Amino acid sequence: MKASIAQLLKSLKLGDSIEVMFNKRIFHGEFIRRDAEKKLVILKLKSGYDVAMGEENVSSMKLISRAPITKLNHGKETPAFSIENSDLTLITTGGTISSKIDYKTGGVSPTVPPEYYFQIAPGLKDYGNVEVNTLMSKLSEDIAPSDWVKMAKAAYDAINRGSKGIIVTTGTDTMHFISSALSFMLNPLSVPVVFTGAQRSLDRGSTDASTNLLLSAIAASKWEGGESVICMHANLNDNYNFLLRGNRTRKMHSERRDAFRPINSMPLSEVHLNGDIIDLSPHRPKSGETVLNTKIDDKVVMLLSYPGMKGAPIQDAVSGGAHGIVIEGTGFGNLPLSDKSMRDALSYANKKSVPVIITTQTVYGPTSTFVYSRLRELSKFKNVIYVGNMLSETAFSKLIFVLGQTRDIEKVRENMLRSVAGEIGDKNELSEFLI
Amino acid sequence: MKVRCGFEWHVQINSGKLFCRCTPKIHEEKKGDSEIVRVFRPSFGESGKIDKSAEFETGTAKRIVYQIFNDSDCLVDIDEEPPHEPDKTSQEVAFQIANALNASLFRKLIFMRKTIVNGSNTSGFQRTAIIGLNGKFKAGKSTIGIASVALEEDSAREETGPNLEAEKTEKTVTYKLDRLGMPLIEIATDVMETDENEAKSIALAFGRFTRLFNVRRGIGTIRQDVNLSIEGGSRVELKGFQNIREMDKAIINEGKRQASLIKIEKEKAYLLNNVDSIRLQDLSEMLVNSGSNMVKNALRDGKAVFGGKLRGFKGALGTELSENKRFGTEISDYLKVKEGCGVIHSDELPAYGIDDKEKTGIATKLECEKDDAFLFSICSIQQGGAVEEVIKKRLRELLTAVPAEVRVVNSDNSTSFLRPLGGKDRMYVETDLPILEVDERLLKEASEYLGFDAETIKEKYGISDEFLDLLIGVNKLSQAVKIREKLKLPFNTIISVMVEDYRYIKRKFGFDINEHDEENVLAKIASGYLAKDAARFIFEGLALKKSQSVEGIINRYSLQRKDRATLEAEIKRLISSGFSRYDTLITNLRDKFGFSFDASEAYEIASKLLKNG
Repeated sequence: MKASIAQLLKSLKLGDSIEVMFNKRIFHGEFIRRDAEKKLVILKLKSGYDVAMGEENVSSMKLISRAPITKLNHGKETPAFSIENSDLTLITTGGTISSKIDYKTGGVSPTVPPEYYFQIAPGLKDYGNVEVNTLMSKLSEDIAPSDWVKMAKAAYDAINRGSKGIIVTTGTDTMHFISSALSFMLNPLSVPVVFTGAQRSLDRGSTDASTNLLLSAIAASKWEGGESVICMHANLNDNYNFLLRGNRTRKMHSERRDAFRPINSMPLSEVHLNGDIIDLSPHRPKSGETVLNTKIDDKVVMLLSYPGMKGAPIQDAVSGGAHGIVIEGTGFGNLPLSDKSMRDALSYANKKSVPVIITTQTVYGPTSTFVYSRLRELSKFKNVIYVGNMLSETAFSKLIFVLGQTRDIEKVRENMLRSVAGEIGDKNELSEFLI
Repeated sequence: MKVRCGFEWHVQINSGKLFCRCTPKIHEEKKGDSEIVRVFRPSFGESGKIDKSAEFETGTAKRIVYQIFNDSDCLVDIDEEPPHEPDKTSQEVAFQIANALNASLFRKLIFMRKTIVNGSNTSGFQRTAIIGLNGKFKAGKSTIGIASVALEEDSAREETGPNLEAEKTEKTVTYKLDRLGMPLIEIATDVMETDENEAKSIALAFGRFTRLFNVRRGIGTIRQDVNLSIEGGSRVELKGFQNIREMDKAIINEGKRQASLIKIEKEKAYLLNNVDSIRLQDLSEMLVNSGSNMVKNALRDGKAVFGGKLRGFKGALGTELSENKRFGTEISDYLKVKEGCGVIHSDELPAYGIDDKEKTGIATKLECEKDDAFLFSICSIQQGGAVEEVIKKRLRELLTAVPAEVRVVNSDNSTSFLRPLGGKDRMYVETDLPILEVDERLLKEASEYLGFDAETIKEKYGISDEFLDLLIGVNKLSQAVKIREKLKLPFNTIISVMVEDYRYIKRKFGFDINEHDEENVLAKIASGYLAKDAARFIFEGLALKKSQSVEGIINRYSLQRKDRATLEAEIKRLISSGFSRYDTLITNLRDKFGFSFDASEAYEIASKLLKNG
């Protein structure tokens, strides 16, 4: 590449109008960017198409005019869109539902202005005054337990200010961890706290965000339950969503809009686009007031049992300062106990008073301590707690909450095994599998 | 008629879907194996603006039903999975065509999302990448500039049928997903000054040109859009040509329409001032006993009639723009797309069961004077206001300039409004796919197609017109040329297997020999392992499921070619035992050796022996 072209490339900004001689032919367009690694110049043609030109075939380049200067609102979080006497509160935390493509560069920016949600789902305003609280802009894999606390507090504040329903939008990957956590931190609840998000990006006409937002607003304003719930597509149609108990739900598909499924439970309700809500199973009623408890201890480690697993991961977690461990065992909750290091590691955790919560990686069905003698042996450790049909993700969120209240092993056991927000049950019904 | 015109051709490539590994299969009669319902919302183009055409379309169709076929669709097709890597064969064919058109190529492809919200793409956009620009195409004596060559995915097919009309008015449209994602090559020409005859001959020449490549054949596999304007007119994109041979008629009709509109704008510009004052009122009550059954029935079904006076418009609404199309039709077509109802105007009355007396009654009610016209529309009670706005908007457009828009060509070669033209606001980058670095070998192989057309093929490969037509007829030209290059077989052998045997087996057994088996057999003929005559026998065996593989048939029937010495010895033996006629000789040889020799070789040996004998 000629030095003069290299020089010009350095000075070019997005949107500058340029003329390029590429493969001995002349092209006009807007400069988009340079891919230095692949040695490409990306140009937007008048037709709207982007084309990539290999720098080795660019023989000349001319600046025609600079891009018009536009005011950019770089990195500033949009202020809360606060309304006096709002009926509903929309708390946004990031994720796909709050991500917008920069149509020129293809980059994704994490924040959208509050009006945006009303543009995507024009029907939102039919359900009263909606205030928007742009709480944070994170992808859900980056959301930590300390963020759960912020969300719980934001919801609690809004409820205290008179909001009659809360919608929380998050990225979908860890939504079920968050909805679980809030079911414990906001307990009981005087209004519904409805989680929703998007599996398909907002730029497309087919985005599920529109339906999800609208149906969540319907649920937040009209549903009679006082629970932390997830409101996502029931199936591949944009017809109705399920309301799913926040601590009994799991993301079961990486892409589909109906990825969130009830596990070991039935959906609580269906919410339809025409405003109808059909109850399918009993929910917790709204209580007179909402109680906030944000004491947590996030020194919890989650492990997966695997063939040939030794005691080291458990040992390392305990010596690394973990206050609690959740292990997804195989089948009924088995761990490879024939290995001495495994037994030693569990003893070590016991000695250090670190609770070890056992769930099952089958996802569906409960753990059991009676079927195999091995398990009976395991259950002799007083720190080992089998949590029946509680989901692993829920066990993780709950342990973080419970350890915030007490580190006494007996109390932890008692709390983990007691249903405080419908997260664990004795009855496993036939119809609850693969819904 | 002098027109300015540019073509956009969409040709289906004969391969699997572009962004998933499904095989497209068109199901003409069959309904989908399952259905899903989706709701479409306006989506945002560059800088958050809603594209004009996108906004218009979301206003028209909100609820979309998709019919899914298990054999041709997967999660990618219903927008529940990101696109896979673009299909290789499609890339090959696209680059061959781009080379043949002498386009300047891009070796790194950027796929874009073109917003389409009529629901014909489940995602709400069409994926498309420019692969070449600035090419040329020779059509007879003229050379046409090719503006761009793009590789893109086809849209879903709208399911139309009488039973769906009712649903459609409630803003539901049904699409079949069997075609969605099929690879397309889109070729846009430069705009040229031409006339209807030349335009038609260019379109026909282009159709012939595409058949030199591995593209799909049959109805609907090539679609042409024509951008057309006349002097003083505007760019109108014509879609949906049913029959290219009648393209000249459609061009004349559209040219006439634009010319008539220009004339009206000039002569009746003052009417523009009267548009604002148009007020529609509810005429339902007075028309309960209308002579028109259409009106009466609609009112009985709970619909309403809204009508209004158009001051000074008398005669204007009835002005004929082109055959069967009046000024009033322009308003009606537009309103039909936008609100699902048409208009009836005073210039076309008496008609539809409305007589002069009723016409006068309506005019009196609307306080029409001598030069005034009126129109009315049958719609729902809630639609009244919207209908008024739409009519006024359309009248303003029509009286200002020829509206630039997309129009559909009807079966009588007239054109009707379809939607506004899309702008570049509808194009942005596909974030689910990285920049595609096209395989160097693929590019190199495709570069052999530089300037490729029927003439160069004939010259380069010494193929006759007859053979060229035969290969094009079975859509195997590109395959045949490849085989010829690789195996150095004479064309008549290739034709015998790929055309004659292929057609014979297809006719007799309804069985399609696949390309792989064909190549396999030809390679074995080229190496001398098989006799030419074995080919048909092997294909029959495959069609009758005697074995699943070419090798299986060869082993089962001992088809390995007999060497010349063995053949000669047997012929000598037969001659010495008294056989001297060629046909009986061959029959005897077939009895003994089956298809492991070529009859032509046996003739040749026998004739030598008999001559010398």
